[in-house]
Amino acid sequence: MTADPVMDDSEDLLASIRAARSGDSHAFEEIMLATERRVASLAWHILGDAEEVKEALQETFLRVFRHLDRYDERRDFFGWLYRIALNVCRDLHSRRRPWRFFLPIEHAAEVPVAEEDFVRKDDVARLMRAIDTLPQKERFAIILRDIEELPTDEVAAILGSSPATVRVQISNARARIRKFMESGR
Amino acid sequence: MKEFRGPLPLDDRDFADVRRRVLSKIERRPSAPLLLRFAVAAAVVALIIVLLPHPKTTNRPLVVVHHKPALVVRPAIAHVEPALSRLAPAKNRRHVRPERIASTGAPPPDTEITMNIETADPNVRIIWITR
Repeated sequence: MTADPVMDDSEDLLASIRAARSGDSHAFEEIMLATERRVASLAWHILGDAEEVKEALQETFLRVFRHLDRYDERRDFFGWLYRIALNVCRDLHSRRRPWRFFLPIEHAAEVPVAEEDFVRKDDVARLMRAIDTLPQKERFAIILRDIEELPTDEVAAILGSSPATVRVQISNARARIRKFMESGR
Repeated sequence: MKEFRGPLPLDDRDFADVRRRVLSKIERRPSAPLLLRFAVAAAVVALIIVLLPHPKTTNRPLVVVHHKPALVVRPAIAHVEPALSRLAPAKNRRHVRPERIASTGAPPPDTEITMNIETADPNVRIIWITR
Protein backbone atom coordinates (compact mmCIF):
# COMPACT_ATOMS: atom_id res chain seq x y z
CA MET A 1 0.00 0.00 0.00
CA THR A 2 1.33 3.42 -0.86
CA ALA A 3 1.56 6.06 1.81
CA ASP A 4 -0.66 9.08 1.46
CA PRO A 5 1.39 12.12 0.54
CA VAL A 6 -1.09 14.64 1.96
CA MET A 7 -1.03 13.71 5.59
CA ASP A 8 1.09 10.85 6.78
CA ASP A 9 1.95 12.35 10.09
CA SER A 10 -0.27 10.91 12.79
CA GLU A 11 0.13 14.07 14.87
CA ASP A 12 -1.30 16.18 12.07
CA LEU A 13 -4.11 13.71 11.63
CA LEU A 14 -4.88 13.78 15.34
CA ALA A 15 -4.93 17.57 15.31
CA SER A 16 -7.38 17.52 12.41
CA ILE A 17 -9.56 14.98 14.22
CA ARG A 18 -9.69 17.18 17.31
CA ALA A 19 -10.51 20.24 15.26
CA ALA A 20 -13.17 18.38 13.27
CA ARG A 21 -14.78 17.23 16.52
CA SER A 22 -15.40 20.82 17.42
CA GLY A 23 -17.10 21.38 14.07
CA ASP A 24 -14.22 22.56 11.89
CA SER A 25 -15.24 21.41 8.41
CA HIS A 26 -11.90 22.42 6.89
CA ALA A 27 -10.17 20.02 9.32
CA PHE A 28 -12.58 17.29 8.31
CA GLU A 29 -11.71 17.91 4.68
CA GLU A 30 -8.07 17.38 5.65
CA ILE A 31 -9.01 14.03 7.16
CA MET A 32 -10.82 13.04 3.97
CA LEU A 33 -7.86 14.05 1.83
CA ALA A 34 -5.55 11.96 4.00
CA THR A 35 -7.65 8.83 4.01
CA GLU A 36 -9.92 8.76 0.95
CA ARG A 37 -7.65 6.64 -1.26
CA ARG A 38 -7.28 3.91 1.30
CA VAL A 39 -11.03 3.79 1.88
CA ALA A 40 -11.67 3.80 -1.86
CA SER A 41 -9.19 0.97 -2.36
CA LEU A 42 -10.89 -1.18 0.25
CA ALA A 43 -14.34 -0.40 -1.13
CA TRP A 44 -13.17 -1.13 -4.66
CA HIS A 45 -11.81 -4.54 -3.70
CA ILE A 46 -15.02 -5.41 -1.91
CA LEU A 47 -17.63 -3.86 -4.18
CA GLY A 48 -15.92 -3.85 -7.56
CA ASP A 49 -18.08 -1.04 -8.92
CA ALA A 50 -16.95 2.57 -9.36
CA GLU A 51 -20.33 4.13 -8.58
CA GLU A 52 -20.71 2.02 -5.48
CA VAL A 53 -17.21 2.95 -4.40
CA LYS A 54 -18.17 6.64 -4.57
CA GLU A 55 -21.30 5.96 -2.59
CA ALA A 56 -19.38 3.93 -0.03
CA LEU A 57 -16.79 6.68 0.27
CA GLN A 58 -19.42 9.33 0.88
CA GLU A 59 -21.35 7.24 3.43
CA THR A 60 -18.15 6.25 5.23
CA PHE A 61 -17.09 9.85 5.72
CA LEU A 62 -20.56 10.89 6.82
CA ARG A 63 -20.52 8.14 9.44
CA VAL A 64 -16.99 9.10 10.48
CA PHE A 65 -18.09 12.68 11.03
CA ARG A 66 -21.21 11.59 12.92
CA HIS A 67 -19.27 9.29 15.26
CA LEU A 68 -16.01 11.16 15.52
CA ASP A 69 -16.63 11.70 19.24
CA ARG A 70 -16.52 7.94 19.77
CA TYR A 71 -13.08 7.56 18.30
CA ASP A 72 -10.55 6.60 20.97
CA GLU A 73 -7.36 8.54 20.30
CA ARG A 74 -5.23 5.76 21.78
CA ARG A 75 -6.33 3.43 18.97
CA ASP A 76 -5.24 3.47 15.35
CA PHE A 77 -7.45 5.83 13.36
CA PHE A 78 -7.16 3.79 10.16
CA GLY A 79 -8.34 0.66 11.94
CA TRP A 80 -11.42 2.53 13.15
CA LEU A 81 -11.95 4.03 9.70
CA TYR A 82 -11.61 0.65 7.97
CA ARG A 83 -14.15 -0.86 10.34
CA ILE A 84 -16.67 1.83 9.37
CA ALA A 85 -15.86 1.43 5.66
CA LEU A 86 -16.28 -2.32 5.92
CA ASN A 87 -19.69 -1.93 7.55
CA VAL A 88 -20.73 0.53 4.86
CA CYS A 89 -19.66 -1.90 2.13
CA ARG A 90 -21.54 -4.69 3.88
CA ASP A 91 -24.68 -2.51 4.05
CA LEU A 92 -24.38 -1.58 0.38
CA HIS A 93 -24.06 -5.22 -0.51
CA SER A 94 -27.10 -6.30 1.46
CA ARG A 95 -29.11 -3.51 -0.19
CA ARG A 96 -28.08 -4.27 -3.71
CA ARG A 97 -26.71 -7.16 -5.65
CA PRO A 98 -24.48 -10.17 -5.10
CA TRP A 99 -20.78 -9.71 -4.44
CA ARG A 100 -18.71 -8.89 -7.46
CA PHE A 101 -14.98 -8.77 -7.68
CA PHE A 102 -14.56 -8.39 -11.39
CA LEU A 103 -13.33 -5.40 -13.24
CA PRO A 104 -16.39 -3.95 -14.99
CA ILE A 105 -16.00 -4.13 -18.73
CA GLU A 106 -15.98 -0.33 -19.16
CA HIS A 107 -13.10 -0.01 -16.67
CA ALA A 108 -11.26 -2.98 -18.05
CA ALA A 109 -10.93 -1.12 -21.31
CA GLU A 110 -9.31 1.84 -19.54
CA VAL A 111 -6.57 -0.23 -17.89
CA PRO A 112 -3.53 -0.23 -20.16
CA VAL A 113 -2.28 -3.80 -20.57
CA ALA A 114 0.77 -4.79 -22.58
CA GLU A 115 0.60 -7.71 -25.02
CA GLU A 116 2.74 -9.92 -22.80
CA ASP A 117 0.43 -9.22 -19.86
CA PHE A 118 -2.54 -10.98 -21.39
CA VAL A 119 -1.73 -14.25 -19.66
CA ARG A 120 -1.26 -12.47 -16.35
CA LYS A 121 -4.53 -10.60 -16.82
CA ASP A 122 -6.29 -13.90 -17.19
CA ASP A 123 -4.70 -15.07 -13.94
CA VAL A 124 -5.86 -11.90 -12.23
CA ALA A 125 -9.42 -12.47 -13.39
CA ARG A 126 -9.31 -16.06 -12.15
CA LEU A 127 -7.88 -14.96 -8.81
CA MET A 128 -10.60 -12.36 -8.42
CA ARG A 129 -13.18 -14.97 -9.22
CA ALA A 130 -11.64 -17.28 -6.62
CA ILE A 131 -11.79 -14.55 -3.97
CA ASP A 132 -15.37 -13.89 -4.99
CA THR A 133 -16.34 -17.44 -4.08
CA LEU A 134 -14.99 -17.25 -0.52
CA PRO A 135 -17.23 -17.00 2.53
CA GLN A 136 -17.66 -13.39 3.63
CA LYS A 137 -15.37 -13.52 6.69
CA GLU A 138 -12.55 -15.20 4.82
CA ARG A 139 -13.04 -12.82 1.96
CA PHE A 140 -12.74 -9.74 4.17
CA ALA A 141 -9.75 -11.23 5.98
CA ILE A 142 -7.83 -11.94 2.78
CA ILE A 143 -8.68 -8.56 1.23
CA LEU A 144 -7.49 -6.70 4.32
CA ARG A 145 -4.44 -8.88 4.93
CA ASP A 146 -3.16 -9.76 1.45
CA ILE A 147 -4.47 -6.98 -0.77
CA GLU A 148 -4.55 -4.02 1.64
CA GLU A 149 -1.50 -5.48 3.41
CA LEU A 150 -2.62 -4.68 6.92
CA PRO A 151 -0.96 -6.51 9.82
CA THR A 152 -2.89 -9.48 11.21
CA ASP A 153 -3.55 -7.76 14.53
CA GLU A 154 -5.09 -4.80 12.74
CA VAL A 155 -7.20 -7.06 10.54
CA ALA A 156 -8.41 -8.83 13.67
CA ALA A 157 -9.31 -5.52 15.30
CA ILE A 158 -11.21 -4.38 12.20
CA LEU A 159 -13.12 -7.65 11.88
CA GLY A 160 -13.75 -7.93 15.61
CA SER A 161 -12.02 -11.31 15.79
CA SER A 162 -8.92 -12.62 17.50
CA PRO A 163 -5.61 -12.69 15.57
CA ALA A 164 -5.65 -16.51 15.80
CA THR A 165 -9.08 -16.63 14.14
CA VAL A 166 -7.91 -14.30 11.40
CA ARG A 167 -4.84 -16.47 10.79
CA VAL A 168 -7.07 -19.51 10.38
CA GLN A 169 -9.43 -17.62 8.07
CA ILE A 170 -6.55 -16.43 5.92
CA SER A 171 -5.02 -19.89 5.79
CA ASN A 172 -8.37 -21.41 4.76
CA ALA A 173 -8.92 -18.68 2.19
CA ARG A 174 -5.49 -19.22 0.63
CA ALA A 175 -6.08 -22.97 0.45
CA ARG A 176 -9.45 -22.45 -1.24
CA ILE A 177 -7.94 -19.98 -3.71
CA ARG A 178 -5.09 -22.37 -4.52
CA LYS A 179 -7.56 -25.18 -5.09
CA PHE A 180 -9.71 -22.95 -7.30
CA MET A 181 -6.72 -21.85 -9.36
CA GLU A 182 -5.40 -25.39 -9.75
CA SER A 183 -8.77 -26.82 -10.73
CA GLY A 184 -8.85 -24.71 -13.89
CA ARG A 185 -5.39 -25.64 -15.17
CA MET B 1 -1.41 -10.23 -4.29
CA LYS B 2 0.15 -6.80 -4.66
CA GLU B 3 0.07 -6.97 -8.43
CA PHE B 4 -3.61 -7.85 -8.39
CA ARG B 5 -4.69 -4.60 -6.87
CA GLY B 6 -4.98 -2.70 -10.09
CA PRO B 7 -5.69 1.01 -10.46
CA LEU B 8 -8.51 2.69 -8.59
CA PRO B 9 -11.52 3.44 -10.75
CA LEU B 10 -11.82 6.98 -9.32
CA ASP B 11 -9.79 9.99 -10.38
CA ASP B 12 -9.08 13.24 -8.54
CA ARG B 13 -12.28 14.78 -9.84
CA ASP B 14 -14.34 11.94 -8.38
CA PHE B 15 -12.65 12.31 -5.00
CA ALA B 16 -13.21 16.08 -5.04
CA ASP B 17 -16.85 15.50 -5.91
CA VAL B 18 -17.29 13.09 -3.00
CA ARG B 19 -15.61 15.52 -0.59
CA ARG B 20 -17.83 18.37 -1.76
CA ARG B 21 -20.98 16.29 -1.25
CA VAL B 22 -19.89 15.16 2.21
CA LEU B 23 -19.05 18.71 3.30
CA SER B 24 -22.33 20.10 2.00
CA LYS B 25 -24.25 17.44 3.96
CA ILE B 26 -22.22 18.06 7.09
CA GLU B 27 -22.73 21.81 6.96
CA ARG B 28 -26.44 21.47 6.30
CA ARG B 29 -27.28 19.63 9.48
CA PRO B 30 -26.37 20.56 13.05
CA SER B 31 -23.67 18.47 14.57
CA ALA B 32 -24.58 15.64 16.93
CA PRO B 33 -23.10 17.26 20.07
CA LEU B 34 -25.28 20.32 19.49
CA LEU B 35 -28.40 18.15 19.21
CA LEU B 36 -27.31 16.26 22.28
CA ARG B 37 -26.93 19.50 24.20
CA PHE B 38 -30.47 20.53 23.23
CA ALA B 39 -31.82 17.16 24.28
CA VAL B 40 -30.07 17.29 27.65
CA ALA B 41 -31.31 20.85 28.25
CA ALA B 42 -34.89 19.84 27.42
CA ALA B 43 -34.66 16.83 29.75
CA VAL B 44 -33.36 18.99 32.60
CA VAL B 45 -36.19 21.52 32.15
CA ALA B 46 -38.78 18.73 32.13
CA LEU B 47 -37.28 17.22 35.28
CA ILE B 48 -37.35 20.58 37.09
CA ILE B 49 -41.03 21.06 36.17
CA VAL B 50 -41.91 17.60 37.44
CA LEU B 51 -39.96 17.94 40.69
CA LEU B 52 -41.12 21.50 41.57
CA PRO B 53 -43.42 21.45 44.65
CA HIS B 54 -46.97 22.29 43.59
CA PRO B 55 -49.08 24.61 45.89
CA LYS B 56 -51.67 22.79 48.00
CA THR B 57 -55.29 23.55 47.12
CA THR B 58 -56.82 22.59 50.52
CA ASN B 59 -55.66 22.17 54.07
CA ARG B 60 -57.59 18.99 54.59
CA PRO B 61 -55.64 15.99 55.77
CA LEU B 62 -55.06 13.42 53.07
CA VAL B 63 -56.46 10.53 55.14
CA VAL B 64 -59.64 10.82 57.16
CA VAL B 65 -60.49 8.06 59.59
CA HIS B 66 -64.14 7.57 60.42
CA HIS B 67 -64.87 5.84 63.69
CA LYS B 68 -67.80 3.50 63.45
CA PRO B 69 -69.41 1.36 66.13
CA ALA B 70 -68.30 -2.22 66.25
CA LEU B 71 -70.32 -4.67 64.18
CA VAL B 72 -71.32 -8.23 64.94
CA VAL B 73 -72.52 -10.92 62.57
CA ARG B 74 -75.79 -12.49 63.41
CA PRO B 75 -75.18 -16.23 63.69
CA ALA B 76 -78.77 -17.22 62.86
CA ILE B 77 -78.35 -16.51 59.11
CA ALA B 78 -75.08 -18.36 59.00
CA HIS B 79 -76.87 -21.52 60.00
CA VAL B 80 -78.96 -21.48 56.85
CA GLU B 81 -76.07 -21.24 54.46
CA PRO B 82 -74.79 -24.85 54.44
CA ALA B 83 -78.23 -26.16 53.46
CA LEU B 84 -78.41 -23.82 50.45
CA SER B 85 -74.94 -24.61 49.29
CA ARG B 86 -75.63 -28.33 49.45
CA LEU B 87 -78.61 -27.95 47.12
CA ALA B 88 -77.02 -25.70 44.51
CA PRO B 89 -74.56 -27.15 41.99
CA ALA B 90 -70.91 -26.39 42.73
CA LYS B 91 -70.33 -24.10 39.76
CA ASN B 92 -73.37 -21.93 40.56
CA ARG B 93 -72.56 -21.65 44.21
CA ARG B 94 -72.66 -18.05 45.31
CA HIS B 95 -71.16 -16.59 48.39
CA VAL B 96 -73.83 -14.89 50.53
CA ARG B 97 -72.37 -12.13 52.54
CA PRO B 98 -73.67 -12.26 56.10
CA GLU B 99 -75.74 -9.26 57.02
CA ARG B 100 -74.06 -6.87 59.36
CA ILE B 101 -76.07 -5.72 62.30
CA ALA B 102 -75.08 -3.06 64.70
CA SER B 103 -74.36 -4.46 68.09
CA THR B 104 -77.02 -3.83 70.69
CA GLY B 105 -75.01 -5.31 73.50
CA ALA B 106 -77.61 -8.05 74.09
CA PRO B 107 -77.36 -11.64 72.80
CA PRO B 108 -79.34 -12.36 69.58
CA PRO B 109 -82.94 -13.41 70.11
CA ASP B 110 -83.82 -17.11 69.96
CA THR B 111 -85.60 -17.37 66.57
CA GLU B 112 -86.97 -20.28 64.55
CA ILE B 113 -86.30 -20.43 60.80
CA THR B 114 -88.44 -22.39 58.45
CA MET B 115 -87.33 -22.97 54.87
CA ASN B 116 -89.83 -24.21 52.34
CA ILE B 117 -88.07 -25.50 49.22
CA GLU B 118 -90.08 -26.50 46.18
CA THR B 119 -88.65 -29.04 43.79
CA ALA B 120 -89.34 -29.74 40.12
CA ASP B 121 -91.77 -32.47 41.20
CA PRO B 122 -94.93 -30.74 42.55
CA ASN B 123 -95.50 -33.69 44.90
CA VAL B 124 -92.10 -33.28 46.58
CA ARG B 125 -91.46 -30.38 48.89
CA ILE B 126 -88.56 -29.94 51.32
CA ILE B 127 -89.30 -28.18 54.57
CA TRP B 128 -86.29 -27.25 56.72
CA ILE B 129 -86.92 -26.09 60.25
CA THR B 130 -84.06 -24.91 62.37
CA ARG B 131 -83.65 -23.10 65.66
